Amino acid sequence: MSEPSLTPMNEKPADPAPESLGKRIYSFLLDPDVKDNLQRPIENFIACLILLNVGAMLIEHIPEVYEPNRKLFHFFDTVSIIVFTLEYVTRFALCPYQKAFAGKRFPRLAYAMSPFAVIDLLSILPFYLSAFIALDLRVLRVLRLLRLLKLFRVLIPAWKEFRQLNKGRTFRQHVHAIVWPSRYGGQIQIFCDLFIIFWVLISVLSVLLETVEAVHYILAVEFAVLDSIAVAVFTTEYLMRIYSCVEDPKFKRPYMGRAGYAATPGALIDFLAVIPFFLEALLHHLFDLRFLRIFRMLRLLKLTRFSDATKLVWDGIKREAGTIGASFFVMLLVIILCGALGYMFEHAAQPEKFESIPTSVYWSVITLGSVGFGDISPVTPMGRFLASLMALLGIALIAIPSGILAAAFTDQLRMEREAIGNKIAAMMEDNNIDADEKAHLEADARRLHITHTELDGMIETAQRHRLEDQALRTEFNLSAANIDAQLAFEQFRGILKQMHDIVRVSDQQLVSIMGRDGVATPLEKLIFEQVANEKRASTGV
Amino acid sequence: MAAISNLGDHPNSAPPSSHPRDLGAWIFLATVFLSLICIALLARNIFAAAQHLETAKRSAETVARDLAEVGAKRKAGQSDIVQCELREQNAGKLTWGPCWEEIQKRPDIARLVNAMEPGNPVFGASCDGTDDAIGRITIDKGTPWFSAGNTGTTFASSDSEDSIVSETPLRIQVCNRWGEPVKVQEIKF
Repeated sequence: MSEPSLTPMNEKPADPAPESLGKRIYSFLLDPDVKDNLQRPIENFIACLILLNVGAMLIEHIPEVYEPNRKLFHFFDTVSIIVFTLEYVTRFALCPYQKAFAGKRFPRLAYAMSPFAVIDLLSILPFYLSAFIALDLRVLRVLRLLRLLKLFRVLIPAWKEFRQLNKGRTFRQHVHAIVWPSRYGGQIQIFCDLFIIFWVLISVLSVLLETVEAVHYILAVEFAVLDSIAVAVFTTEYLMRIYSCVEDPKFKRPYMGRAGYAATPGALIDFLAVIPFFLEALLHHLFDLRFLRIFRMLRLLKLTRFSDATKLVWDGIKREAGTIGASFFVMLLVIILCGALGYMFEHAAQPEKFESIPTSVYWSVITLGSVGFGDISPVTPMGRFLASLMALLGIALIAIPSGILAAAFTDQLRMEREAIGNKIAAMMEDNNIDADEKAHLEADARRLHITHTELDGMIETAQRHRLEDQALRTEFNLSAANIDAQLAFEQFRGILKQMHDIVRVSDQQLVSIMGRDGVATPLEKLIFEQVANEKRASTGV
Repeated sequence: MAAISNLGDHPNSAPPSSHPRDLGAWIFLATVFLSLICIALLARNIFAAAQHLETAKRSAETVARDLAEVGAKRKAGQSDIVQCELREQNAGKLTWGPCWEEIQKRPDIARLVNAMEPGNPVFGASCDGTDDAIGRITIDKGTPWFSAGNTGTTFASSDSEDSIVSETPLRIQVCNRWGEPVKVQEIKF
């Protein structure tokens, strides 16, 4: 419950000292302590730009790609340098407003000597130096790698936060916090997820491009290197998950728990993402394992771990598994029956096309699915009649499981949203939602794609319902009503509602009682008249 | 505060230990280390095979360039290799084998090195999936076809008895580590 204000109602709080323009710009752009400012988006943008720079630096080593696009690479490099220079200058100019340097005698000098500022300077200096000094291109490229150091500006604070959150926890709990979402993970856990997602995308893109002859011819070695790095990343992640999964109560037994986790779909996907590399590298002398290469595409499934929508759909499918199974069973029956009928009608006329029932079943699937390749088509009148019926039937047949799936998804979403509503109601037991609870709700809201405004609306609704319930259920709570104006109003409203109810059920009896002398006070009569008139007006009696 | 489960905070988690790195942690770290070593060793082999293939590709490109050059000259009647020259007196007896023998003596091809072992590059008939085939250079001969208004060229292993009395499409390929042919170039010889 909100604390009573200590400031007298009619006394305005003292105006804070006016902030300088520099301070306001710092707060808006760079202050990590100000909520909803541009600090986080700017840092994310810089981090992305650094990664793109590293990517560009690597690609520049491929002459076939670099030479025709030399101007584009130079343009990108120049734009990056402009952005990094602007960042450096802005930080340098605004550093006196930064807590760490605010009290210093020469804040800008202190800032310029700080490790982050030195890193920032090192990342842009080679570009400007090359304008004055004839640097070897290879040296320049190596120096440009210094830009990578800028990532420490994001990583070091995240690591400090992680250490703080995990103070006194075990090594295994540290590992668990890195790879699984938890309140102990902080930014590091998000970076870990992003890192894995990045490698999944790189790896899948490599698999796709490897099949393009011209690209693979140029980048065969690069693809081999990328695949090895991706396998190293995914193997480490897999081992980290297997090692730390016992922190989850579901898998708490050291051996059986880990075995249980290893059998989950997520862990199996992780395993399948790396195992082709080992099998292919170790056993290709003995077996032809080229087909395993396509299994690398399974790495794409790793992304499902990071998508809450997938879980939502999967939960919906599991809940409706029986109905979906039944619809597929009906579909199977229709396919086989139509295939058999097709065989019966067409075999005599086209023995080479409708040669057996399995071949006819293929035709049945293609026709019912509205695909119609045309490689097998009926020629007899009965066969054509059947095909026409099947074409119409196919629409309904596909629509049934589609409808069930859509309904299952919608229901699941509704249930999850209702669960959030219940959770809010449970949290409102103490009339207050604290920061932890709010963070929990926000995580749920993100998962279900509920906006902040919608969540705030849900919380407000829960608050109102709670107050109404309280007002109706509880007796007059004068001490509470004295403190909380909203509660007092709800109690007043509750009493008025009760009065309306009483008048509704016993209007005439009350009129007769009120008519007697000395029974009701003038105020009671007045209120009764008012309520009764209102009720009569609304019912038209 | 109302009772709710904390996000990812498992009540059954092991209590904080005074020795954060226990035996399990060491086993885990050792497993990660060994796995990474294993991946590095396997990757080194894969990388070496890829590098060998790149060398073979460069050799194949040289072969293709030389074949294209000889092809252009012989069509112009200026070839310095008699066994390849398109002349009236050669008609009917011009075959791939002797011509190829002579082409291999050209300096650019003669100085090429084998990607796998010391010596000249290995020229073979096809990629057969064996270890010996990695980096092998194959030269397939093309046969044009016409069917139902469509045209195309079918390539097959060149034989020394194959006639080259007219312009002949050739496809130069190298074998990768799975024994699959990687197309380097197609030329008109």
